Amino acid sequence: MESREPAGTDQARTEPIVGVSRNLARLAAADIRMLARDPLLAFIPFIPFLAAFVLRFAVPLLSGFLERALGFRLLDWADLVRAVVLLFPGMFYGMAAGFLLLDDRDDGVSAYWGVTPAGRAGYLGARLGLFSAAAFLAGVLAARALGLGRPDLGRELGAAAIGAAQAAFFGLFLAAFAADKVEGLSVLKALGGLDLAPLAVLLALPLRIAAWPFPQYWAAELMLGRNSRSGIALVAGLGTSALWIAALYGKYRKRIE
Amino acid sequence: MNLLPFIRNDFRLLWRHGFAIAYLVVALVYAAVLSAFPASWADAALPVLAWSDAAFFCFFFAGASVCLDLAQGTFRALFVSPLPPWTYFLVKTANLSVLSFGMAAAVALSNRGLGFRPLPLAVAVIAGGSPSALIGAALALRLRTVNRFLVGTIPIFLVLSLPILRYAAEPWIPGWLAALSRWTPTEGSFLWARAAFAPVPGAELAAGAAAALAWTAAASALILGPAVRAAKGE
Amino acid sequence: MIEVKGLRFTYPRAKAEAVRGVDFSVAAGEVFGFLGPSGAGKSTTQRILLGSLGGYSGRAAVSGIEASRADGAYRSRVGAAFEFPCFYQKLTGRENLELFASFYPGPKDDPRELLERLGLAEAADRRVAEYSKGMKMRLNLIRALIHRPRVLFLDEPTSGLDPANARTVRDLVRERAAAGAAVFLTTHDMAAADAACDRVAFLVDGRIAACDSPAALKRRYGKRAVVVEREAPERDGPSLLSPEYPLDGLAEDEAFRAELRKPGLLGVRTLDSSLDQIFLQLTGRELA
Repeated sequence: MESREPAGTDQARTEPIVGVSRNLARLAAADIRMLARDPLLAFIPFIPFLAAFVLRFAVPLLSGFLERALGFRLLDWADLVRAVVLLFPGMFYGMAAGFLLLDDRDDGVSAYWGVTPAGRAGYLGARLGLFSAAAFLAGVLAARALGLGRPDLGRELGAAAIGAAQAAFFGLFLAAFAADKVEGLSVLKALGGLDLAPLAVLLALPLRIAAWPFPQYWAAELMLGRNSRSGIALVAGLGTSALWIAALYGKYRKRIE
Repeated sequence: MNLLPFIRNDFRLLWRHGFAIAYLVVALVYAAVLSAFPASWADAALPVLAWSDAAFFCFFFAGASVCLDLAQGTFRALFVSPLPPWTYFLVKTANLSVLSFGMAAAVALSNRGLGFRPLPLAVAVIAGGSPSALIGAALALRLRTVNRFLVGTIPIFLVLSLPILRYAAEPWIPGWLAALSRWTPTEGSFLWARAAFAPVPGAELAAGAAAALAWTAAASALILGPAVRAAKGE
Repeated sequence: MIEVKGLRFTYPRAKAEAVRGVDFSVAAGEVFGFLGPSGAGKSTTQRILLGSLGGYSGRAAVSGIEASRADGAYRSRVGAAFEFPCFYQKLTGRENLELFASFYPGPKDDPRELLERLGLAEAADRRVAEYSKGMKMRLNLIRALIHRPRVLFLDEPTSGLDPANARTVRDLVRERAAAGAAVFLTTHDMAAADAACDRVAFLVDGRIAACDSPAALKRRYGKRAVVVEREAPERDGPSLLSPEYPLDGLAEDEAFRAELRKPGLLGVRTLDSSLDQIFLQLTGRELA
């Protein structure tokens, strides 16, 4: 396996751009077909929007309760909710990408990719890239669907970029740590805790440091501008994402070799 | 039949497939988040977290366990053995309930020390875990693959979480939604989870336990039974 | 032990019957081969007998109990090894055996002995995910045997095994039959069926086309004749075959006796049919 992959990727690199983009389009078409054929998987792309609509109505209700019970006005934190919603597509699309990767591993297709000219790295990059691009677009749209908080396209594009990186993060995390889809479920449950990372913006300083390694936290900082400048939050969010993705890719490679 | 080897090996599988680790990680995250919250917030959130351990994890992992047996083909081998199907589901539910209790108790201990009542917490876990696990297992038998289970159960998940909505926002949600929430399989369990941290009237608790029992019986007879028969024929 | 009479079955939503009036019985101590092309109804018949498939008509019984009423007692008498071995991948071979054996009442064989016999003693404490296909097949057989079943259902038990292991499996199956078990063996491997079975049935399109001992079938479908084989006159040339001599009156056949007296005699061959040839003749199909 080791000797095939570099050869494959070299060939992919020397291929004309047109050929590569055609291959990408083919992979995208194949992935969309696979999602569409599983009627329930086909539902995943819409979940973030569904969640955004539910929150649009549930947050004002919940805010009323929290204010009465605890004196906490949730609606003052609508931007935080907006940040969480912006991150949803990255999480869900990454989950779908991860499950397709595990499907491919179960079916032995991923080993086959290693001997094609695209190479295993090319195949992985193309798939995660496609899901990330979709997550970027869906993140911006889901924030609009939520309708709460103040719209700010600049900050939203930044947070959506961090969200898009989450698609690669979740996809690789599943593929690197789960042997099969059933284990994928436990990995997913354990990753569920990351939903809470944006809440760390509410914490005071020594505690808040615990959230620094997580891009989800920086996306929330970027949206709120509460504890750090937006430029720093964007760089930190993308930087931590890149570090995670590199580490997870290394782990994934070790697993398949 | 000696059930000990089954219980022991089912636990091994929960551990080796990472289910137990997932419980541990989530318990740590819960404990960390609670410790960062002010006491009044933590008091409001504790029953929800304790209850969700049983209601959601048992649902999810019972389904995952069944998907595992379907994917590995081990269901066929189990079905031709003399193991009665109810024993299979009983052992899975019991093991997941034990893990859920451990997790809920650990989260409660981390926040309250010994300032909670373990017995109502145990009842909450059994009352929530049993119907949830049986419904999760039945849906997995119908949906057959992890992908489909993961997505296909979202509506059921929403129904199972209605008690939190009622707890958090009863005065603001429509009457029919609050009424629907009272009739969910997880409502009885939620009452007991609240009783672990604050007083709840005895009559309400009795009604909650009865409702959980009725839901467990109904889920076994009306959902799980037909799903098992259908799976056997395939 | 196994009794099947007028068995018919149609899958829900299927137009044609999968099993169309099958009759056979398997006695205690007998190894019965169930042969036929894919889709002939072999698996359906086996699933009915295992109590996994209800809604059939006719009789399908094990030890006098109808398969549609299969209960714990019925299932504890039966051992089954499926064509595709299914185990908990994250449990070791030994843990899998311990788990499945615990479902059966009564005395059991020592797993160590069986593991040793089938060459799995060293791998017993490794997870099944690390096993090769052949190792899983052998573990599959051990799981079917460990509770000393009185009726054994084996589906392709030697598939994926090397000749030495295949022989061990066949010996083990014959031993269980000698100890009184009825063995129902489904296979595509005609040589294995010939070597292991007392009787075989050919199932074609849901019906039994022929059923007898392999020797009798080979005689019935072959020529009742022999040929004499002699060394070739030149080195490394093909051996010479005599004309065919009919079995009837062979002892008095002067031409045959003269053939035997010629120099360079290599052997005398009967012209029975092989099970492979009978299969082709009955089904009109190649082995799948």
